[in-house]
Parts: sequence; C-alpha cells; structure tokens
Amino acid sequence: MICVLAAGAADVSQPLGAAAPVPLPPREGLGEGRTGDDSHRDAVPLNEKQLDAEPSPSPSLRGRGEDDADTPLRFAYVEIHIDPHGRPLAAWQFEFEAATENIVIVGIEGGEPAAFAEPPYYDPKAIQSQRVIVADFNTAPADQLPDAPARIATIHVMIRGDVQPRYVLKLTTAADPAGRRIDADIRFEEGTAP
Amino acid sequence: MKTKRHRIFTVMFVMLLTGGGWWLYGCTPNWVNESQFVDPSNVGSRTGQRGDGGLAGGGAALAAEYQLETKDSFVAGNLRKTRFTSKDRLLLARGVRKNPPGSPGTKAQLIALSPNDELWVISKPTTVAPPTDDETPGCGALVGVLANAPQKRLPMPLKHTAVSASISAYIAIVNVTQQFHNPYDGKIEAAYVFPLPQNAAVSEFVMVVGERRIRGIIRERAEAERIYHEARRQGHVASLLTQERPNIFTQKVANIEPGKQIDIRITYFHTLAYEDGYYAFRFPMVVGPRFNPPHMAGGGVGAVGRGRGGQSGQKVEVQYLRPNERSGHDISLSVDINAGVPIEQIECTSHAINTDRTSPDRAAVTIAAADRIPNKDFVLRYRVAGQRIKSSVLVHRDERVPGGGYFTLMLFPPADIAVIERRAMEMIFVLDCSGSMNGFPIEKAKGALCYALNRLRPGDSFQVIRFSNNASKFGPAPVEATAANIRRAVKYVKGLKGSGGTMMIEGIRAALDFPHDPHRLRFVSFMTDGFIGNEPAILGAVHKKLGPSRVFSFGVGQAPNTFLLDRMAVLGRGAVAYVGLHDDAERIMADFWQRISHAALTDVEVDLSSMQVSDVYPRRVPDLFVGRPVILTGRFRGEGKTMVRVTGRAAGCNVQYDIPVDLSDPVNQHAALAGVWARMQIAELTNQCTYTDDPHGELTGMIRQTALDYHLMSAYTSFVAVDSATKTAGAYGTTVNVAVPVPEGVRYETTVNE
Repeated sequence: MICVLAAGAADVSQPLGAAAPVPLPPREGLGEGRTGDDSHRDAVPLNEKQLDAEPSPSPSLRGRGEDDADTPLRFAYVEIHIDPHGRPLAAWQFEFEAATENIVIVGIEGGEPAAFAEPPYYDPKAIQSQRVIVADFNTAPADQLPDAPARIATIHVMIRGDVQPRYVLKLTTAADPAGRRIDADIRFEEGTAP
Repeated sequence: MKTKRHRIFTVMFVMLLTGGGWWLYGCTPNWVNESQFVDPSNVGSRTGQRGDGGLAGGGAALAAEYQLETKDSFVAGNLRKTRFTSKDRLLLARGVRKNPPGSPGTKAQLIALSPNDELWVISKPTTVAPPTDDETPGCGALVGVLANAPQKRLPMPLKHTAVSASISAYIAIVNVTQQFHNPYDGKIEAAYVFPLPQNAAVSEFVMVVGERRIRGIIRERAEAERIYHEARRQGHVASLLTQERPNIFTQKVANIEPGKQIDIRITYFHTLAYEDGYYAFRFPMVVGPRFNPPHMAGGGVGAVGRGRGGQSGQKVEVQYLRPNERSGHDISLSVDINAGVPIEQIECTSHAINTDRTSPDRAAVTIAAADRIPNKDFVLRYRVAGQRIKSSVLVHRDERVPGGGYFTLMLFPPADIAVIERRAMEMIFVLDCSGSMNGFPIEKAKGALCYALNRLRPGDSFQVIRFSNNASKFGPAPVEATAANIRRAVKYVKGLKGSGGTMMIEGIRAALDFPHDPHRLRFVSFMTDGFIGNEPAILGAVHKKLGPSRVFSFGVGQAPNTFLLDRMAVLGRGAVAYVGLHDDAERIMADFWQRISHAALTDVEVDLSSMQVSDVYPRRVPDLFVGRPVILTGRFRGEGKTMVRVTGRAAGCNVQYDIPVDLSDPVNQHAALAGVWARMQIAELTNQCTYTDDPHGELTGMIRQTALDYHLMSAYTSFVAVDSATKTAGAYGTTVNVAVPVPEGVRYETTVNE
C-alpha cells in the first residue's frame, strides 16, 4: 500500500488578530503596481470618458448633473427614522428622492434594530433616476420588533458640487405583524463623516 | 530498524528536488524511533519528522530517487513513474545507508530489512521545492519540501472565503462571503481577481464593516469606478466589484485600517448542468494562468508572479504565489440540495466531502476541513431517481410581464432515438499542447483521445491536430479509421508534449478551415484547459467557421476556463464535458462516445405558441443528444395548462413529441427565473458582440440596460458601496493584490510571467 501525504494539507487558518501587525514593506515588495495604472481613473471627467473604447451610454442612462474634473465631490449620509407610535413595526416601505440633480446614491445601510439590521432591498428601476424605493419586513414575533422611534435605514450619497442637497422622503406604508397598516411618522437626518 | 519488532509496509519516496534533501524514515502503525531515517543529501543526519497521517488520493506523478545499500554494495538510481497506485511496491533488498561507502560525512544510519520486508514511509513536507521535471506536480499538489528553505507564509488581505449554496430543482442560489483583513501596520486597499461560474447572475452585494451592513448599488461601470476612486481618495471605506469576463471578477476594498476586517457578501444564481444522468454543481476557486496572444494589446488576462504587478501589460492581472509560498487563505463550502425527488447518488472527485442525508430528497454537503485550499474547482455531481428524467417546465409569474412571467424549459431528447444508429462520422480531434497543459492535464487529454480513437468504426474518418505556438496535423487530410491508421495515430498522440504558448486560433483554423465531407457528420473535439485571454476572438472564429460541423469541448484540469468551453459548445451546437485531474478520463470519454453513438435530434423546433412567448434563449435550439438536455429560457403570457410541441429529425426520420405545461405558479418558489432569463439575454447579446459589429453601441446599450433593470453584474455594470459615515485617516494606503496559488496540476514555471 502506498500512502502519500498531500502537500498543503496543513491547517492554514489564521485566527483573527492572533498575529502582530506586519510592517508594510516598500511599495515594490507588495506588488501594488496597479496604483500607477489606476491613477488615470481618479476623477476621470465625463468628457474624457467619451474617448474610451466603450460606446457612450444612451442619454436615458446618464446621471443627472454630470461633473467635470473641477466639480468637487463629497460623501454624506441620510438616516431614515420611523416612529410607529408604540405599535410593533413588522414591515415598511418608503420612497426617497433627491430634489436636486447632484446626488448619487452609493449605498443603503441596514438599521439599528436587530429586526432591520440587514440592509433593505431597493427597486433597481427607480434608482436609475436618483430616487430609491426601499422596503423591508421581518416575520419575528411582536416582542422582537421595534415599537419606538428607530433608525431603520441609512442612505449613503455622493454629492456633486457645492449646492446643498434637498431630499424628499415619503412613507408609503408601515404594517404590524398581522399585516395591518399602522400609523407611523418618518423623518430623516443628514450627516457627514467627522 | 528491528524488523522483528515491527511490521512494515510498502516504501514510498517523495523526492525533494533541486538541491533539497529528502526525508525517508521507517514507520509502523506505532511509529518507529525518530532516529531511524536516512538523508542522502550528505549533509549529515538530522532528526526526522514523523509523519502523522493524512492520505492523499493516488494518481500522483512523482519522481523518486533512491539509494539502496545492501550489506556489500551501494546502489543508487532513479525511479520515475507517472502514476503511483495503491498496488505499487518497492522492495528493498537490504538496508539503506545514508552515504556511499567511503564518502565523507557523518555517521551513517542503517536500516536493516529482511528479504520481502516493506518499508512504509510517510513524509510530511515542511517546505516546498519547485518542480523541475515533467512528472512533478505543480503548486498545491504533491510536492516535496526544501529542508533549507522553509515555506513562506505571506500575509494577504484575503483571509477566508465562505460559500453557502442552496439548490432547488436545477437552480442554485449561492452566497459567497469574502473576509478581507489588514495584517499590516498601515492602511491598505485589497484587490482580488477571482472566478465565478460563467453563467452566474450576480445580483446582490453587501459590504460589512464591523456591525454595519451596507448594500451596494448597481451602476454603470464607469460611474461605479469613479465613485469608488473618489471615495478611496477621500478616505472612506468603499468596495467595488467589476466583471472582466463572464467568469472572472475583480473585487476591490479601499481603506482597510490596520487590524480591521471588511466582509464582502456576494449572491448569485445559475442553472445547473445536467450530464448523463447527473446534475453538476461547480464552484470555481482560482483563475488559471492565461496565455495572451501578442496582439491582445492589454485586453487579455495577465498571469504574473506575486509582487510583479504590471509586468504582463494586460489590464487585468492575476498574481500567483510561487511554489514555496502560501497565503493562508482558505475556503469553506456547503451545499444544501433539495432535489424534490429521491437522490440516488452523490459524488465529488475534486474534494473530500462530508455528506448528511437529511431525507431521501435532501442532502447537505460540506468540504472536509483538510481540503480547503482554494486551488481547484469544486465539482459536485448527484443523480436523482427516476427511470428517465422527463422534459419539464418551471414558471414564475411576475408583474414585470403583465399577465405572465418567466419560464425555463429543460428539453430532453425522446427516449426512442436512443435506438437509432448514427451516421458515419468525421472526427477531428484538436489537442491543446501548450505549456499550461504540461503534466497531468495533457496526460489526461491524451488518454481520453486514445480511447476515442480506438472506438472509431469502419466508415468513420479522423484527423488529429495539435496546437501551441502553431498548429500541426497527424496527416494532410482526415484518414479512414482503419486499424493501421488508428495505431499510427495512437502512437502519434502518445508522443505529444505540452510546451509553448496557446495560439488556439491556429487550432480552430486547422480544424474548421477545410471542406466538409458531405457523407459524414463532422464532430470537432477540442481538448484544452482554455487558459487563454482572447476568448472573444476564439468564439468569433467558431461562429464564423462552424458550417455544418458540431463542436464538443473537453475542459481539462482543475480550473478550466468554463466560460470559453461552454460557449464554444453552445456556438458549436455540441456539448461540453470536464475532466478533472482525479476524474476517470476514459469514463468521461466513454459517456461522450455513448452519446454521439446515437443519432442526435437535429433541426429542433419548439412550438411555444400556446404560451405566447417572447425573447426565448438560446435563439436557435441546439441539437439534442442522448443524456444531454437543453435549457430554454424566455418570457410568457397566459394561464392554466397547455402543451408544447417539439419537432426535429433523427437519422433522416421526422420526430415529434409533446410536453405538458402548467403556467400557474402557486408556490412562487422560482423567483430566480427572472434573473436567469436576464442573464441568458445578456449572454446572448454578448455572443452577438463577438461576431457582430456594433458601431453605434446598440448591443452594449441593451446589455447595460438589461443588467441595470434586473440588478445584475455585467461587463458594463458594477456594484459599488461606500461608507459615507466614517473617514479613515491619512492617505488611502497601499494596494495589495491578493496572490493566489496556480491551479492544482499546473506548472508555475511554464505559465506565470516572472
């Protein structure tokens, strides 16, 4: 009988945080050579994009408020809060839209209550025109659902230019575990990273 | 060793090449004294390392050098075999001495053996030696270790990949979680090039930062890249997922602070292949090193050594670990199968698995803990009960199609064509003899090819074409399948080796650029790992030159280019089969031969008028071969029960049969069908791009719009996620490309640009 031990069968797991931080070696040692290649992509103006090999996107797909190399870009977030007025909140849907044409949605984050910690789903058609329809639900029992004001989602945005953004927020529906509509209020709070 | 005290077994040597030492020691079930070993490198005796178990599969190609010394003489020699099996035995005549008689060095160790005794050796490598000959496997397979070059474990940003798949009927939904962490003392950006199944519809993307989870947004690719780069520049944690090929993706995560971890969760779904009675679930784990023809001008996929970014000149690069390097990245994988009917058999030749049968029609499969290095595709096959799987339809009613929804039709040929004999064939075998095929892959392919040659019948004709940097043929034209010609061809095939580049276009021209024999049905069989970077050129050539031929592609190796091979089969109206290094190549070729030994249902037309269908893909129904169904996907309108009629021809006879269809969707359990259809539309449009000019960008525009509407990745859409709520300090940091092992069985030296 031939017995052969396969190379590489050793345990390869590395416990998180078990090893001391490794000093970053000089750039050439890490093979990060892509940074040089990537430099041309930083803040590529839209008019230069038309020189790329890819055909230009059709007009209906262009984002509103196209920028050029000098347009400042910044990132911000909008927290969405719902107050179900003491009723267990099992499902909700809201519509969020930027009233100014300089906003790009770049992420949708889950909420604070455990029942809505997972990031909610959004309507892919609507988001192409800088508005988003977001909804979520949870089939947990009522005692595991939020019944007080809570942050149920955060919209991450990129803002072009210096114009102060304006948002429109509308609560489409809110429901309890039995599927009954409940009276709830919705509001938003803007913020930027410190 | 006191043979009287120990029962010993077959000797096995693992050679450590190129200046290395090797460890040879005797062991018994109770393990022998550590000092009883021999090191023939003449560097002195040293304490050996006891092997402590772990068996790999047989079939390894090893080269062993042994030194035997009898009581009176010293014998040295080389033993080379292409395959060791459990029946191999080496009998030592007498003891083994470390040093030749009279040579300087330390005191010799002698293991005394009695006649017919066998010495069982288990060697646990502590370092890895680079392979130096054709028979030594590449990184990730069985290799020896260098005593004086300990294996380098490199810190890499990708710590772990967790895969969780759920299969219902023949649709798989797969969740992939990549754990990126920063082991360095400064901020980094992680960049990772990885594969997914070529028909995967990537629909969800979530970035996990600590306890926070941010869902990524699908955007036009250029816009997504701009957002990501700006977020990176400003210090925000951000991630970007882009598609380089339908089966190759790039994941970037920016501003990972020291010691921090960022998880990326990707969800995709796809239909499973059904092959000769088995459903097959494949999860690719590593992109094989691609050959890019000189004219690619940056549009290929480069293969470079770790730390050699930019050397290939290609826009997309995969960095590979050298044979003596390890990253520590491992993978866990679980598959939950809900077949809906009893499962008769489950097998996996690529990995060791654990299987839990929770009920007759359900099974839970996980990769064994000892087999988690991601250097080969995971392939799981299972057979379900039923004398014959019948054609069937899945539907999903969806408001996006008013009054209807989406459907898939799995179309099997009727059973009665299995008794119809085939026509005479003209078999054109095309064998990839490039450097990446060197070793295991080409041996597998040659074995399958020789099997097929010996199954040709009188009246058939054949040709054998090899390609690497160029193409050459067995003969100037196809020859009759006589016994003499077959013998000569087998000899020719056995003499072929793997080296050089992969100019596959030359092989295609040689196979298709000559007149078709009107009295025979031409089958062109490509045997390759598909490690090329110019897939569009290859697919375009197949489409243009196909004519009345049929293309059957055989993917060889542990990580073949399934996108290329599947598309070649679709464009070629044939089929595809995969031969892994641990698969029985002859069995797979026998299945293929069984299939083409019967008439195929050709000129297939499917009357779906009762379903009011639209946008059905593929546009042209391929031939139906025994054991190989075809899946049609489309949109429908209507309700209730109806009938679909299939017509075609088999060996000159008309064939017709009906399939009952129920358009209701009471349990709404196939919501993924909408995405499956969208993915098929994208694939069809992408195919058209390979052989149709698109001067106004209409095709690319349609691809982009479909992907945006159905929230799918494509070549023109990408996922981006930005954490706007926090900023990391300092410059955005250093980009660290995640280096990966070359696929098992592939030689680093002949495939990676150093």
